Amino acid sequence: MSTTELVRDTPAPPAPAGPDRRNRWYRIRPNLWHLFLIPFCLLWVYPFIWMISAAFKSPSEMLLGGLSLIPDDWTFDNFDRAWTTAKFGDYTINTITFSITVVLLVLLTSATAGYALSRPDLPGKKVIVGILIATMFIPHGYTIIPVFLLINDLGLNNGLLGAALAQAGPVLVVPILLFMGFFAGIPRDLEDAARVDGAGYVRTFLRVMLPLSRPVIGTVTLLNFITAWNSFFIPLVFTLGAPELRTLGVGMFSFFGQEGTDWTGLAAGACISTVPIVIVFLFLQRTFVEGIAGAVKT
Amino acid sequence: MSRTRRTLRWAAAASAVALTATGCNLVGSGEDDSNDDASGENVTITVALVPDPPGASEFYRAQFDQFEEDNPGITVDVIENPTDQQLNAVELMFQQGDPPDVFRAQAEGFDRMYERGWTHSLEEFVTDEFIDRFPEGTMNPATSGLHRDGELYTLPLVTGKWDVRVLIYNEAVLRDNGYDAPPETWSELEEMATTITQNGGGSVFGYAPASNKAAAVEMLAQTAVPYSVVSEGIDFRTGQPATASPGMVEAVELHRRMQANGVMVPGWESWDGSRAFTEFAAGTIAMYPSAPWHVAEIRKLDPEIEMGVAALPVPDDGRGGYTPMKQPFQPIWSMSSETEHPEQAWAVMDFLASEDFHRAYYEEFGTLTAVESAWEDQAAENPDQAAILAVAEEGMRLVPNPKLATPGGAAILQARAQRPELKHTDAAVDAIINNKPFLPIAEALDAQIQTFLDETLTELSGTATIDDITFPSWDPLENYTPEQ
Amino acid sequence: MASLQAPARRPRAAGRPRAARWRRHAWSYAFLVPAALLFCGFSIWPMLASWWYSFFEWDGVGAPTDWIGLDNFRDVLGAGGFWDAFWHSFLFSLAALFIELPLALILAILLNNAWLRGRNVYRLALFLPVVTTTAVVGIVFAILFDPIRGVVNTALTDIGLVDSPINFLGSTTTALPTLIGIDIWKGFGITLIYWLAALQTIPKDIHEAALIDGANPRQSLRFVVLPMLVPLAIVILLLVFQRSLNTFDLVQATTQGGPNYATDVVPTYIYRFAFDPFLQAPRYGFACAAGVVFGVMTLLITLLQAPVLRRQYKAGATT
Repeated sequence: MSTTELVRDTPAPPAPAGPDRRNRWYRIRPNLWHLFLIPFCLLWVYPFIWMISAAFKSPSEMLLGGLSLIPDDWTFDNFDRAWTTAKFGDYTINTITFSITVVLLVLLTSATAGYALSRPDLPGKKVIVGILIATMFIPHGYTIIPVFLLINDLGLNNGLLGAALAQAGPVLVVPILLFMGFFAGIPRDLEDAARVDGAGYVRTFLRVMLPLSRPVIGTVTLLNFITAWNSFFIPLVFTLGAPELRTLGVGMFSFFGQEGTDWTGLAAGACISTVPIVIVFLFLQRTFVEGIAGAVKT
Repeated sequence: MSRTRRTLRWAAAASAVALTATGCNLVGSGEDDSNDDASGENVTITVALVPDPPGASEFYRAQFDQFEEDNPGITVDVIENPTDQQLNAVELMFQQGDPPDVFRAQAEGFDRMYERGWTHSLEEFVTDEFIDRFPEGTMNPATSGLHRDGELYTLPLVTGKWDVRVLIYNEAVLRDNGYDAPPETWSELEEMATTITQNGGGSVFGYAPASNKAAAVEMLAQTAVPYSVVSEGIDFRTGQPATASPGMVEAVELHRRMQANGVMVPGWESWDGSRAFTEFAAGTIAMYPSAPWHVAEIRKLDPEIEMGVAALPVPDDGRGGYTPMKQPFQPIWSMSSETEHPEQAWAVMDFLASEDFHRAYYEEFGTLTAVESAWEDQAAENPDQAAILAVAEEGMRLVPNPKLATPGGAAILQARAQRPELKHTDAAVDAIINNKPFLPIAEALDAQIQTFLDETLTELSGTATIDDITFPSWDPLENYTPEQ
Repeated sequence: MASLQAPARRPRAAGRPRAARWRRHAWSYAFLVPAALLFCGFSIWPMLASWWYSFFEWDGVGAPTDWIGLDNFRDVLGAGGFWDAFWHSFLFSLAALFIELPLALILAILLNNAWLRGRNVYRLALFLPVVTTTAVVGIVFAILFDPIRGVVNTALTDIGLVDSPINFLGSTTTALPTLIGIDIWKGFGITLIYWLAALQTIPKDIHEAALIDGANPRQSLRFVVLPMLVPLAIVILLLVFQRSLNTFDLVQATTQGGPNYATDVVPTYIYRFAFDPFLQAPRYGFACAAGVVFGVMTLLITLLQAPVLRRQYKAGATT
């Protein structure tokens, strides 16, 4: 297995005491990974850097010029145009509202459902999980029409809540399964201990289990935030009567025309709209990186 | 640990603030507050459009600001939809019971709207002055393309001449290879393209088939066979399937040969619509058949390029057809049948068809608009546009259009449109890329088209016959005038 | 779907221990209600509705009236284009499962090590493609892989690896593998995050305890850490599988299914019939039928794997 080969080269964090030579080797060896990681990551982010550099180029330089990442002529026109064309000023607050609502809806429903389903003895569990997994494979893109009719009948058609519900509904399965898998892995004793202390079901969930699930919360938040942030079709369809409520994902499509695309404007818009996601990532990565290490004492 | 918790708390607090700040947006107001002013003082007209081409968003807003200033009492609300989603979006707005008063539905998109009864007849508003804005004879109810059942239903943005197809060529590259004029026949095209590619050393190529769907096949074939053979696979002179016509087959074979010999620019197989003009502006390709709007895009990318615009080359044994002028205009602007303020909506539409607006649009985007008096003089002085107009004058002919001629014809074409696989396009790309002889493929397609026609005519018996798509007196080399 | 909530309303059984267990389960069912509502409304109902629509010749507007029975299904099953698209989607999945999944696990294990300096930066770097706008990705790779001026071909010919430039996205043989590669690049960060989160659920103490017990790091990983990952690994496997089946944006942005449909996948196939703006007559009913066939087929494929997965899950859970 490739995994095991990799680990052969991976020393444990505290290098075991040994002869000096070996000790030094242990100190150097981890750094060898950088020889691989640095060029690999540079190559990896090249298209992203390219996007940033295109945002500072003129359309003709971007399309006709060479592959240089440094623009010959720095221009800020693209950002100017992006700001007005994609209506960043108007749409940013909407996008934040929409994305946060989606994340909250997903977290609330999937954490509770995942916790409930993590109990192995729950009657009907198999059926429910079976249905969840089965629906994972139904393509969702084209089911927008029935969803639209439903939201319309609920009277939520011209608000971001309707859009958020429509966005959160179909993506629930993944987070539920993640939470379920996570909670199922937590030792029962921990829960029993809480119960002995007199905590009820809800209290155990809120005070003991939920804080432990930070890595999953972080993952679910991050991924759903990104999807919601970039989402296009759903916010478009559910704000038809109230275009002032649209999100950036919709605004970004203003760069696409029947007769060609404003690539540099799009690149500038993409840069602006990526910044919040990167910030969210930096915030959240602590949760799934530091996570619960050491928290679960057995 | 606590740092993480603090992060989460901070995020929660931020969320709470953002949510309360915009809480009212979440549920949405059922009533649009700007729309219920029925007392007559101020009326809001909603216009659903697409912000295309780039910059159109600001352009339309500025134009409507001007309009509002000139027409106190009318406010124009713009709803922009991405180009690809405009039709779906407008359809959903109708289903929601909150349709726009005026909307953009282009070409076949208009028919989708019309067939659903969502368009308002404009006949009651039209004046002689309005008709006179457009070139003489173009507003004939039988052929304009804007009328249905003799009534005006939709307004145009661009002139019918904009449907012309041209050969764009790079004068400098041609000159370097010893050519002082663009090709006039297909074999000249092939020979020149081959030479240029051979001399190009892998960085300059003689020819590109315009897009990943090899749109050039369609454009060139229109010079060889009646247009309906190319677009529908049916010869409208006889009502018979005709994809296997020699001219049509040769158009594909020409491209197949050039592909097999490595003449065409590699990579075209996955080009999107804008790559052709980008590559041309970069100097990679010497010539390609194109829609006329590419010319302006190329100029934008490289104002200095030595670009020529010529008529499409014709088959060696002479011309068999022209770029079709199916109708003088393509539908663009329509009024909702459910509008509560038809008068005011018309005022907006009247503005969208005014000489001022058409001139402004022309000046902003270089598009030749429908009100020709708005740009005629300027275009004559612009070499690129003058060249396009010259080709349009020579390279287009009026053709019979069953959709406008009879309801039966419209029904057959509608049924045909639901079977896009009957068109040569995919089969031709397959033949070119995979080096397959096209004749057997075309014959198989013709057999399918015959089956389709038989089935459709049975299904539509009583409403349509083969006569609805047969025009025995049509000569594809002449302008067609319907017998009235 | 009533089954989701129905048991909660069952009369309580007699006897104190059972009653107590029921009360506990009652809470569990109550916890399921919000998700059930959302899920029924926005997954189950649209799914059932689309099944219903698939029996109609319908363009998506107004009430469907033109019942045509199984004709749409007959058309889908007989359409060569659909099966080609299906095969391509399947290849996307295979690549995701057999290349992306293990690679991401390896990098996650590496980047989970506290001794690796700058791991935050590496993580961010690997994650950046995920947040790069898909449409921009399409044009960037089109330019990078261009046979004439693209940097990849320039590099390959300069090194001497190839004689003539490779038409990466334009040739019917290389377009799909190239696109799959781009898809892996774009989605890698997500899988990496899943693995990192999964690794976090394993208490560090256990790993350390194994080391103290004399196991070397490799043994600890192989016999302690990896088995503990299994339950979440199966979930992640499902997620990656599902995501790869639904690849849409990237294909649409890069090749639109071309050249000559060599990269067409089921979602782009469905989109063409339901929403393509150039379509004069949308065939929404047909698109729904294609969706149903696709869903049922992938479900069957998944079910074939289910016994294996379940055995693994149980083995992992009891370790």
